Amino acid sequence: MESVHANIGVWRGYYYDGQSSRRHEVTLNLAPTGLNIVSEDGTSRWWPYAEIRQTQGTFDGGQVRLERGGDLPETLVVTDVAFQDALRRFAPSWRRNGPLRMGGLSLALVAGIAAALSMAGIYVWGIPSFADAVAPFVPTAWEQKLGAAALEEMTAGQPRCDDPTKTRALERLVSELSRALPSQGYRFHVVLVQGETVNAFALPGGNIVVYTGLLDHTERAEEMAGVLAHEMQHVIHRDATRAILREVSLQVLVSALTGDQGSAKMLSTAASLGSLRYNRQAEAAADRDGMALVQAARIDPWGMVAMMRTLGRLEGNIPQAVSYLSDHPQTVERIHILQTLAHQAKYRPRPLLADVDWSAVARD
Amino acid sequence: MTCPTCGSPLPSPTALCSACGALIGVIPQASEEPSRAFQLKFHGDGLNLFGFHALNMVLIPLTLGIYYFWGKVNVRKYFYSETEFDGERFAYHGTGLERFMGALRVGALFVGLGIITAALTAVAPSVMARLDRLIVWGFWLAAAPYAIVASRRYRLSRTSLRGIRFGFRGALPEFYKLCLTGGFLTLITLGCYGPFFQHDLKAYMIGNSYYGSRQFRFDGQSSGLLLRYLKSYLLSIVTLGIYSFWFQAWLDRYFWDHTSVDGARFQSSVTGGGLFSLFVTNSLITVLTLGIGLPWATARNVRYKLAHLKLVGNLDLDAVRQEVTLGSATGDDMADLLGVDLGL
Repeated sequence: MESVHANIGVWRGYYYDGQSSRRHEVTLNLAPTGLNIVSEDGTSRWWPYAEIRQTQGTFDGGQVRLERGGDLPETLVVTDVAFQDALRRFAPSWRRNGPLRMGGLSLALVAGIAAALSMAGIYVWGIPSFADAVAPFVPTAWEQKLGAAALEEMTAGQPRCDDPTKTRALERLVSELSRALPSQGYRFHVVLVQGETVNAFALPGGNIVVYTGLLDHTERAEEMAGVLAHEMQHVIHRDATRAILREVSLQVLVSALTGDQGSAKMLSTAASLGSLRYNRQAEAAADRDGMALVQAARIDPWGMVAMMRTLGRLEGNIPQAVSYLSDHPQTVERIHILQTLAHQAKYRPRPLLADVDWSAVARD
Repeated sequence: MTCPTCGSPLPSPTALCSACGALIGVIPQASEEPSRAFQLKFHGDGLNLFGFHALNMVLIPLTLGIYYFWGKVNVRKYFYSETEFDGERFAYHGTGLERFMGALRVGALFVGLGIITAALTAVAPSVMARLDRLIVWGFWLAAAPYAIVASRRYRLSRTSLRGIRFGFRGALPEFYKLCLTGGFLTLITLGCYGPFFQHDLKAYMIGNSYYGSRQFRFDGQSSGLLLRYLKSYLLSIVTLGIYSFWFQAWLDRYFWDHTSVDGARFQSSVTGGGLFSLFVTNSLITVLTLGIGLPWATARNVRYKLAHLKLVGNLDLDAVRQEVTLGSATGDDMADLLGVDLGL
C-alpha cells in the first residue's frame, strides 16, 4: 500500500458531518498548520491541528479517526495505516483522546509486570499495613456489633452449653484474669458451645467462644486459664478486627480490579469469620501477652504450658517444612517459648478456683 | 475484484485502487438499495485487552480507586473501536470523568439513604430492626429497573457509528410496570412465566433502541417459547448441562433473527457446538494460565459472536439522521454497583 502517498501529504478518507450518516469520500492535504479536506463535490474544509482530536488509531496500526467539534463532532476516518506516521511527522502535538499511546506488546509487558509487582506489594504489605493502621480506630461499639453478628454466623446450628457448673467456672476464670489487666475498654464474656472441636477463638468486642471439646481436654483450672488469657489478648490486640479489615480490603480491591461488583458479597464476607487467619506474629503476641497476664494474676504458668502440650499432641506432628506455610507458628516452637517464659516466673502461684472440682467442670 | 472507477483488475480486496487511486467504497450509492449482507467483525485481541487490564491493576490502587472509571472507559473504548460493521468502526464517546461524576451522585444517594435510615432507626429502633431486610430488598427492587434503563440509555447514547449516535427511548414507568407484573407472575407460576417475562424484556429493550432516527424492532412470538424452554431445561439436566450450550445458541439466534432495523434483519449463526468448544477452550486457557489468559478468552468470545452475526436486507446507511437522547452516567454507575451491569 504505497505509491499514491509517495508524494507526501495527500490522502483519501471518509468524512462525516455529525448530522447525518452520509459518508463523503474526501481527499486530505497535510498542511503545516492543519488539514485541508476536499470533498467530491469540491467543498473544502479547513481543520487546524489545534482543534483536532484523535480518538482511534493512536497505537494499533489500524484506521485513524479524527474528530473536530463538541459533543456531536465532525469525523474524519483514514483507513490507510501509513497515515499514522505521516500525522506524527506533520502534527505531533494535538490532543490524543484515544485510549492510550502505547499498545500491543509493549503495553502488555510493561503493565503486566507492573501489575504483578503492584499486586504482590499490596497483598504482602499494603493491605496488612492498612488493616493495622485502621484497626485501632474502630470504635469498640462497632467491634461489639461485628462480634455479635459473627457469633451468630459462626455458631449457627450449634447448641450452647448451659451447664452452670461449667459456665460459672469459666466466668470466674475470666474475672480473675480481667482483674490483673490494666484498665481497658473490653468486657469479656465466654460462650460455651457444645461441640467436639478442640478449639476456642476470640471475636471482636470481647466474646470468647470455647467448645466443650476443648474443655474436656483440660486437667485443671490453670490450663483453661491459659487458653482464656491467650484469647483475651487476641481481643485486646484487635486481631479479629484486623483480620476482617484485611478480608474486606481484599474483596474491595478484587471487585474494583475485575470490574465486578457484589456489595452484598462483601458484606457477608465481613460477617463471616470462618476464614479468619491470625498470622504468626499475632499468635506469638497472644502467647506472650497471655502468659504475662497469667503471671500477673499470680496463676501457675505451667498450666498454660501443659495446655499447649496437650494441643500439640492432638494436632499431630506438623513437618518442619510445612509449618512455615501455615499461619500458626509451629506448636513445638510455641511450647518452647512458653516454657522459657514460665521459668522466669518467680512468684508462688496461688490456688485457682480451689473450691471447685475441676474434673466435674471439664467432663460431662 | 475490479475497480469501479477505472475498471482495472485488482489482485485482492483492497481499500484503494493502485491504478487510479480511487477509494473502493463497499457501501452502494444512495440511489440504489439492493438487499445485501452487512458483516460484523471484531479486530481486537487478547494482548491489548490484557495490557489495559494490567494497567488498571496498577493505576487503580495507586489512585486509591479513582482511576477505576477511566480504566473502565478505556476498555470499553477499545472494544467499540475494534468492532467493525460493514467497514465502519464504532466509537464510544463516554469519558472517565462522566462516570466518576455519576459515581459521586450514586455515592451521595447512598449516603443520603444511610442518613435517613440512621435517623429513622434512632427514632423507632424496634420497627426499623424488623424492617431492616425489607428496606434493603425494597431499595434494590426499586433501584434496579432504574439502573438497567438508565445504564442502557447512557451506553447507547455514547455509542456512534458514522458519527450518528445510538439512543434508547424506553419510558421508565413502562419498564417498572413490566418488571413488576413480569416478576410477580414469574413468582406465582414458580418460574413458568419466566420465558415470557424474558421475551417482554427483550422486546422492550430492543424496541426502544434507536440508531439516529431509525428504530430497532423486535417481532418475536412468544407462543412456542415455554415448550422450548421446558424441553431445553429437561435436556440440560439429562446431559448434565451440556445441552445448555445448544439452548443458549438457539436463544441467541432467536433473539437476533427477530431483531430488525428499517428493512434489514439480523441473522445469527452461532451454534451450540461452537459455543461449547469455545467454552472448553476458553476454560482451558483461563485455568492453565491461572487467570492471566482471561482477556484472550474474552476476545475470542467476542470475535466468535460477531463473526456469526450479520445484518441482511435493505438499509440505506447514508440516510440516517442524528437524533440525540443523551443519558446521564448516574444510571450506569448505579447499575455497576447494584450488580445489574448488562452488556450491550
